Amino acid sequence: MVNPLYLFACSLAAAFLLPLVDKLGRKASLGLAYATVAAWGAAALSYLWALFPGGSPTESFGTAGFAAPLAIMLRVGPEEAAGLLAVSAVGLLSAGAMHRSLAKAPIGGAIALLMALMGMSGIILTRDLFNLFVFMEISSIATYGLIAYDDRRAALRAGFKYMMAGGIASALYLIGVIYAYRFGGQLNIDLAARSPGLYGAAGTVAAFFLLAALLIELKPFPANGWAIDVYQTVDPGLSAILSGASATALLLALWKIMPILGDAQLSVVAGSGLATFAASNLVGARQSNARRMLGYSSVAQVGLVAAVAALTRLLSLGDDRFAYMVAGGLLLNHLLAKTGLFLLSRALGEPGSQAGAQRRRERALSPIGTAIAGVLAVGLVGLPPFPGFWAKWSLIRALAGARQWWLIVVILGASLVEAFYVLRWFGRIADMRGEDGYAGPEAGIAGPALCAAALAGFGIASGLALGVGDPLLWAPFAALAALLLVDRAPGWLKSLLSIAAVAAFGRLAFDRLDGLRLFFAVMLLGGGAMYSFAAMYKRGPRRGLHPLLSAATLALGAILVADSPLGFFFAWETMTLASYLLVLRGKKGERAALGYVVFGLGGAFLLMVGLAAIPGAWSFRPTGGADGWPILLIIGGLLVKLGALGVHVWLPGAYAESDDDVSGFLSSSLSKAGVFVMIVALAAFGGVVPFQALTLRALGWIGLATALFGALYAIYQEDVKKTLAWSSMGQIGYVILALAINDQAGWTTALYLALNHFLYKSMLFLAIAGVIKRVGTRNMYEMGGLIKTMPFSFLSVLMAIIALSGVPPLSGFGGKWLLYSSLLQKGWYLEAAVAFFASAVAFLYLFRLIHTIFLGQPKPSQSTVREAPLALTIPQGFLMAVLLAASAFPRLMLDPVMGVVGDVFDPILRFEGSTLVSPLGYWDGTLSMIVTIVVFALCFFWMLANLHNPQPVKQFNIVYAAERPFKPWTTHYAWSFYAPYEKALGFLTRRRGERFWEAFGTGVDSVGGAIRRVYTGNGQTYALHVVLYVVALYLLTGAL
Amino acid sequence: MEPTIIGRIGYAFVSLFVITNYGLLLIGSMARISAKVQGRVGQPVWQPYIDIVKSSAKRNSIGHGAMFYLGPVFRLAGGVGTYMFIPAVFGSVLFRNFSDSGDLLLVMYFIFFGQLGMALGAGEGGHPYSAIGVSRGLAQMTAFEVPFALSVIAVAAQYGTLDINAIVAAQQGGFAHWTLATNPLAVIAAIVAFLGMSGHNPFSVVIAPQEIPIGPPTEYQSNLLGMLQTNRAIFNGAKLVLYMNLYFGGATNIVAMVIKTFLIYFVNVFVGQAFPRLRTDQSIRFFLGAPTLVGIASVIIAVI
Amino acid sequence: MSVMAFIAGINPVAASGAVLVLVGLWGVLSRPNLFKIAVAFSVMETGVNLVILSVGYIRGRTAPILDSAADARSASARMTDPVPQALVLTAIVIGLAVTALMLSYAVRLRTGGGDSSIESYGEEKW
Repeated sequence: MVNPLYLFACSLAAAFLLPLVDKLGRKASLGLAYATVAAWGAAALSYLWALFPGGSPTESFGTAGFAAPLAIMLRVGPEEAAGLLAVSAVGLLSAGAMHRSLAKAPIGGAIALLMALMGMSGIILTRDLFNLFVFMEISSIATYGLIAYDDRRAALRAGFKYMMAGGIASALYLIGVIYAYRFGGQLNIDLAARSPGLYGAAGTVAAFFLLAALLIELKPFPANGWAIDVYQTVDPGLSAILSGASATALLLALWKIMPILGDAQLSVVAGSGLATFAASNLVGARQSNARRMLGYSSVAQVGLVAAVAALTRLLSLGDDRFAYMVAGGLLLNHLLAKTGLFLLSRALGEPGSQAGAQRRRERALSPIGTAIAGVLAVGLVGLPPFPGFWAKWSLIRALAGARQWWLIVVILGASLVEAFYVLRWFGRIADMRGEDGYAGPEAGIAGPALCAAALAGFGIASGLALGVGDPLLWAPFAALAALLLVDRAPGWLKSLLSIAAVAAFGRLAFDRLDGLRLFFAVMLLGGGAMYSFAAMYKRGPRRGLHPLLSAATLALGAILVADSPLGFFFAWETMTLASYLLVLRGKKGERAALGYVVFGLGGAFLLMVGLAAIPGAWSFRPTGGADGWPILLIIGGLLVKLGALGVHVWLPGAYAESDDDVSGFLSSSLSKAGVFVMIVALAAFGGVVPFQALTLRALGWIGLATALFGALYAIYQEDVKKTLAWSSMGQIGYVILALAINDQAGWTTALYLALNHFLYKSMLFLAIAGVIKRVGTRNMYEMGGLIKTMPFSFLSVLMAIIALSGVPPLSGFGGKWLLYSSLLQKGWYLEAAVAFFASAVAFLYLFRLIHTIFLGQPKPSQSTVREAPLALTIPQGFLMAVLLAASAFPRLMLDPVMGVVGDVFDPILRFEGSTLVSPLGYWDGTLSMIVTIVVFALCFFWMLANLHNPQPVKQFNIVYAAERPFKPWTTHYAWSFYAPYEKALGFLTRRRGERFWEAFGTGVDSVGGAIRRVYTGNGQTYALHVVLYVVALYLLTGAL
Repeated sequence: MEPTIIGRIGYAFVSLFVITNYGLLLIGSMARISAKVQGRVGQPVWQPYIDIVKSSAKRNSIGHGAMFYLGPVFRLAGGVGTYMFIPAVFGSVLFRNFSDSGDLLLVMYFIFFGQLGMALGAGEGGHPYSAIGVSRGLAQMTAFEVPFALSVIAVAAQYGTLDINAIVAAQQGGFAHWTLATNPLAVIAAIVAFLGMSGHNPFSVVIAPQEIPIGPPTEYQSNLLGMLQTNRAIFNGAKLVLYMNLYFGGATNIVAMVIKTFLIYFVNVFVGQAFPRLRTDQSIRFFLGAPTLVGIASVIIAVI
Repeated sequence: MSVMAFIAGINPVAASGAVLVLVGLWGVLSRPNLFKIAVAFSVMETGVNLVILSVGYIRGRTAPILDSAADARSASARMTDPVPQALVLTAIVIGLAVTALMLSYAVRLRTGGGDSSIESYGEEKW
């Protein structure tokens, strides 16, 4: 190994030489500076190379050939090597971003940069307490220099505050060092850790001072106002260095002194870290300035890493490997994402300090820039496949193992807030994208791109390291990447590629799908392929759609084949991610996507805790002996995903605002994933659910309320997609209700309903997509009379609504029959009555849907529209055929369903020939179909036979209050179709869910608003915070 | 002896013929009774026949499109189908119809078949009154279905079956076994719902002759109107038979059926003559109020 | 008596160092003038340096120089601790650098047309 002393010598020599070399030209001098930083990186790589394949765990270097205590020791171990690499890499990236400013400013800027990075490297390497102080001061002083190098006035203001806090911290540290030396007798950390003197009363105080100083440098809440101001105001390159490199170095310093800390001190580290994580995220949610927001996020992440490091030791969560994996993973995630985002924020232009004026001044990013921003933002919030996802999983699992529920609540709650504001920011960026006109990538995008690539690379590596190696689980990302590469290709080609991907996935996964999984594969994979096909209905490449649709479809498939909790959760979050981006692609999807992803993540967190709390979860076989309550969390998480009443508020927006075909995919395919998991969870844990009867009954009522209110909301919508969205919510409510019945009849019902919902809701969404494409509006009252011009779509909608409403003879009636039979059989009479009411209400919106669009008076401008494109009508035709077959021969659908359910429950329903028999009644789908057809045919012929001289008349040829109307806008009865219903029952649908969550959000927001009042902007107040923080820390340490 | 399939079809036609004529006469006689109550002479009892013949004999037929023509077909098929799924006379092979297609649930949902098709056909007519009528009708329907569903649930819970034949069988053996005697609350809820279903006063906003002249069928004429008029008879008959089967012990012969259904239908006229019309929102709130509570009580009684 | 013993037990260097640190801290927290803050930090650093020195000084021992008063064998028993003296040199240098930078910041803030009170530099907040 290279002795790191040479590297220090190199850096110093380069710094001294820079003014001389500068005479040769700025290019030469900056080249020298960059080369020096790169040399550090190269050395770090060589260390890693030497350390990793099972070589010596660490290697120490004494200065001047002596060993401690006579010399300062430098140690290179895995964490040091990785830290050095991080500092050097961030340094190089930031230097690249700052290149232009560095070239303009005096050469002192480059020197300061070099010294700051060297100081950070020294912090990482040294094992000597005083030497640590020296390197901290070197990096601080160099940073003060850097802050001022490009003459930003705001940076000067912030820098002065920074210096004040840094000055206090360094005084504390010096006092700590000298007393640690006094009582421990050593300055070398490893030797001091073995000295008993450091653990006496006085020694503990000395250690406390060291700790307090380090913590302040790590910017704890509330003593971090100065740091936020710096992040906000300095060159984004420098922000990246501070947030990435400097934090890494200081966290490693904290890690270094942890052996000399007692339990009480570790506790305050953990507490302070978590408080910082929570409070900073709350305040971050209030920020409108991107860099200040990133600053808060930065501070929060560093707090979390510190807390995790302390908790690892305090609770014995795991060995060093665990710490590397979790704390290291979180740090790496933060480092790369934040560096990339800070560098990217330069491309967004200089935001002003006033929130209002700012939005206009931010520039739109190119598609590539947006994609990179997306990767970084998504990585930051801990979605797969990035390192933060894996680290968070391991962390929560370990915390659940240690039964630290409150910690889990704080961490996940704050993570959710962070996800909210980071993705809100990303959504705004994505929303600014120009629809037309392809802009080339911005200058300076290379740095963020590298960060994004590294983030993905490390994410994949950590996933593999955790044993998630199943290629099928990674298939969504492979498809995403592959299709993104050909994103400029025509849409039809990408559609075909997507379908091929789904087919290949299905082929590979086929052997691993048992009956239940095969059943769902039809809806999930088949549905995905169908919507990929339908996506051709709009011309042009439809950039980004196919990759995401394909990824979402394959993620659904991955959910089916996952065989471990982590594998499943990975697939689940992949699905969340892909569908979030799909919603965001919608024209006005920004707000809806944000709600979608926040609720999606919230549900996923519940799911994660539930999975983590049950060891050996995730198999279709009943598990006995486990704690029951985590299953409640799982069910709760799934209810969020399914859009149960109360947590449904994301649903209408997400389904309505995404692209028209995507809405169909979300509603008819994707929502079934939640049903699948619910079935698996209930099958495995149905026996251990606490208060089983009560819980299931409550679940049933939740489903019922969802069904009823979904239908009630649907009838008042003017927007056709909103109607369908609420309708989807209601239909899923029935599925939940049926699942809660929890016997053979109930589950048969649930699966049958789910499959039917897939069929008819696909038909509806596809037909409506065609209508919207042709008429160019989503408001139903702006349509009318389209039956003449779009008869096929009308037929499709007609069959779908007959099926949805449950009118015989189509298969929807089977669902109703099954539902009431199983409810009555179970003795859930009131439930049956409410379900009946809900399905009657469904008639209202269904009739309104078909009437106001296809019947009534056509608008003159729409009298020449064409039938929907073939890409839409072909799938609809196929679905119609399936629906008819399934209606005439119910056994086609019910035999497989009952086969699956038969593995779990004793039979209640059985077939006698074509008659389905329940203990209460019977239903012969084939016979009733025949009777209906014959009767209908006879009536039809009767009508024809007696029709004399039929005369088609023109529009408006009606008798209307003794005049002939001439305006369709006033003759087409469409707007506010159910006004009397609103008058009678409107009080039920006053959006209480939305209001509750809005109030909740306002509450969280105002907590953040209250907290941020501590950041007054006054440097002296900040200094006072630092002092008070130390005092509070001391008192807490004493109290523990 | 089990009849052959041809025989069953033949029986079904006979059964249908009987119920059609009975339904027409019932409507005619009720109209006459109403007239007497109001102090008028009224129409002859056979007026419905005259109406149908007159409509069907019209030389011209105005059409607004395919669905407009199909509307009455749906409507009539709905009426006939509903009747076909109900056993009209207990134990009679002739009046068994095709009730082995499904149980009570099938009948309850098949009722919607004709209403839906009719609403669609009327919708294509393009007349705003049609749409308004449908809107009112559907809105009112959701409300009166609640007490009706509750009462049906009570019956199903009481007899432990949804099979109409079995429900009738359980009520055999005299008045004391009728649902009317064993669970009167269920019958009250169902009868109130029936008032809504029949669309007489006070629940007649759907066809409200004064404001939206006859509502949904307003654009229909000629043969198409004739079909609607025919359906009205059959559909009424079907519903009355259903009520008789569920609550009034069914009928073991055609005479008992005629008497019982006449009396059930008479309730409509009786109430209809006594009360003015409610607004849609009023009737919705009405049905979801007291009748629903009665329905819930009937379920509770049935369970206990 | 015990009070006297207590006072006698106090290390006068450390005590004066502590006082200086507190004075400096008070200055940092209460004087809004940028230059006074810089000076207050200087005072605080001096105090810290005194504290460092106080740890190395052991009463009744000789200076840590190998000469006639103390040879290599008995050095550890007869000399004061030289390490803190070495440390304090570094600390002084660093303190000087920080003070210099702080003053230069103050000057640049002032020459940029700003006020000399720190209260007028609170534009970034919340």
